[in-house]
Amino acid sequence: MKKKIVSAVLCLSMAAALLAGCGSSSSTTADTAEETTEAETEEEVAEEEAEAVEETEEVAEESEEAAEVTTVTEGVLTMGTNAAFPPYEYYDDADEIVGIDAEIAEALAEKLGLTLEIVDMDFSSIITSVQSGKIDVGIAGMTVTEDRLENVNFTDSYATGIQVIIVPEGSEITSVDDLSNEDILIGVQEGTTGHTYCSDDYGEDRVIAYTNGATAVQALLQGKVDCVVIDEQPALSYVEANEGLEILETEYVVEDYAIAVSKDNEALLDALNTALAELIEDGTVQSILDTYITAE
Amino acid sequence: MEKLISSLQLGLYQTFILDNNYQYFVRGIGITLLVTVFALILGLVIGVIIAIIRSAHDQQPVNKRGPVLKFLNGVCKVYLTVIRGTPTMVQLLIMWFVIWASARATDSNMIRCAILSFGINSGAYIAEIIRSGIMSIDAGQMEAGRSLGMSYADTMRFIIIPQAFKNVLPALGNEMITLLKETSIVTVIGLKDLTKGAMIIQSKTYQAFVPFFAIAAIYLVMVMFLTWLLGKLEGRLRQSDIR
Amino acid sequence: MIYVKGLSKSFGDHQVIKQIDTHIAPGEKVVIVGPSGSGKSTFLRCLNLLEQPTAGRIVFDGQEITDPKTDINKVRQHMGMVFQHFNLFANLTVKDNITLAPQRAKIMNKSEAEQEAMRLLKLVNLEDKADSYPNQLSGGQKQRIAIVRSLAMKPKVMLFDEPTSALDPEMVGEVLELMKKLADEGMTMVVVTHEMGFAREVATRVMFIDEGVVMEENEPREFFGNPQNERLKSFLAKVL
Repeated sequence: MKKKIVSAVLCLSMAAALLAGCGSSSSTTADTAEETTEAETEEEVAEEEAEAVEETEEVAEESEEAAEVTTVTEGVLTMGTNAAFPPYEYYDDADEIVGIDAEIAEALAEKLGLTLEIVDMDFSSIITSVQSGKIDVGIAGMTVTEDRLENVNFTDSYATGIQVIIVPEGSEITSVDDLSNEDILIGVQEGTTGHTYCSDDYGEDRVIAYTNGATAVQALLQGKVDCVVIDEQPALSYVEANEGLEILETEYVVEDYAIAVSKDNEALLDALNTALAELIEDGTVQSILDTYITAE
Repeated sequence: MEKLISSLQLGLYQTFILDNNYQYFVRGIGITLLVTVFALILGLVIGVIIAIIRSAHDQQPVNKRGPVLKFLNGVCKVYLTVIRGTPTMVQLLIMWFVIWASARATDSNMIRCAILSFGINSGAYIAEIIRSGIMSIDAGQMEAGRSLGMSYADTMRFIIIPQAFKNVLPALGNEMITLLKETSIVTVIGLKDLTKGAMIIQSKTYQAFVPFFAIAAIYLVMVMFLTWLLGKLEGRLRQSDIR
Repeated sequence: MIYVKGLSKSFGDHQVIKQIDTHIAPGEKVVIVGPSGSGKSTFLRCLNLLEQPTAGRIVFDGQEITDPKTDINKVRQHMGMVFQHFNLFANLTVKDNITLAPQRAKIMNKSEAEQEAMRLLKLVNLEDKADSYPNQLSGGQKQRIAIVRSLAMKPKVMLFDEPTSALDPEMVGEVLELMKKLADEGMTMVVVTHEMGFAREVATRVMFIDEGVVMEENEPREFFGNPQNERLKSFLAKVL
């Protein structure tokens, strides 16, 4: 029994390595197996099988923790992020990427017995990179959306994000409704949910996407745009750092942050969820959030 | 294999059909061409002026160089050094976020900024290309023009520049192609050119393969068209070489 | 017509022309001869300021052209120049080569300039080449067109800088023929050449320049028949 599992894991990791090598996004054998079980339509058969699957899954889970999860680089959890999104991820004075996401990732990696490596990239490239197996996880204050779910899996939520509207003090914009005004230009960070929602709500023409939040705020300060729609936490940092800006009291949208994992790596997803549950339970996540978010 | 085809189909669908995404390409091509063409015109104007100042300075005997010419030549040299010595993207960022900080982020403002930045940038390279063309023309052509009582400016305009232009057309073509492709960095100021179009589609659909290959193909076709056009122009200008 | 006083020209430390004084009267045909590197071409090019003299004065038609305030372009409109290497404008047709300068100088409008160009081309039997480009022509044809290009400006004097030196031997004749025709019509000419036959036949005065100095000048019969200067004697011995 033990031998069989070891060889199965070996096969899987080889397949994963191959797939990662050619950057393809087709599913692994585990994935296909699951699909075929789901495809069975006869209820009775399904029920019977479900039991069987549950049993095997239990075995698999145990063995996985023993035999480790497969990652892009062995023994390393490679995390993609866009380090211009304080306090979730940003460069500190020592030029290292720190923040809520970085610390949660560190804690998760520790739980899984892996070392953490952080790769800084454009926000809009993170999902594609997860999909093509360049990185293991995308942790970047990322909101779960239906579009994104089509391409990657998400773990359980570890924090709640709120999209807020930053405006210059005394701006004519006083609520979300004012964004409908045809003369208003809206700055966003490219590829964020704010970008998607604003484009859908107000049309592409009035939404100016910048490669990072800091540039968007810079454009706001210069009057190039009239407001910036961005996550609440970085927004607070920006408003604190720049005089003359304020955040509207009405939120633009409320959403959950989660970790993106490749659809080809169910094992990693499960392991992360388990570890995350433990971290939430023992209060680690909350204490990380508290460190970075000073309650107003 | 089947899986590959179906994922390609999904990619094509999401990239072009879904939400009328193809419009990002159509509008992107328009903006890319607009910026390229006007930047090129501006670059040519700047380039020719600078090339004339620089070669006028170099061709004039030392004792006949007036203070104005010396000053202008100095200004041109500084311009060439600074523009050729700094990255285009940095110039664009400075133009948009520092020099023209007050501009609103409307499409027309961003296009103007891009044309200005790329025109000024391209002007430096075109100036040196045209200067090399002027230097390649036999000194006898200038002497003949001057000996007939034509001014330096007239001789330049009617005799030297047309010949120089013909000689440097291939190099100018290269510069045009570089310029067309380099305009893709306007994405940093938020202008929705062809590259930005693909990036937006990528961030909406998480498809990388189809959108990026699509714009690569579009850029390629545009460059090939430009090359063809230049070949035509060169053929016409070579008329005086037919024996 | 042209007064030259104390004309000197140096390139760096090398003095090419040393204190030349001369006067070229209207209607004169002055032929300048001398070994290569003697400074004769430089002297000629100083006359219309293609070379800036280092010292000395040149007065043309009562106007001091070495004065920096003189509009040299205006002066050159009255001094035609023909070059060794023709220097036809390579980007223009033969007709445009001829009509460009008169139009820019506002001496003629377009149709007048074109009429004049066709008249001049007929004079040299090249009217069928009006729409050709320079590199479609033979050397002799190019030089004849270069000459009529200068004539289109109706110059008071013509300067020739070794006009036949770059020609194949069989084409020298047609160019000299045209120059003789010009001389017969009374044009004032200054010609730098190695064609001693032409000097003998056409010149009113022959000038021998060597080492930047006018060593000897005389009317052609005396110049060739009874040379005084030793250098001129040895020079003539070599070329005749």
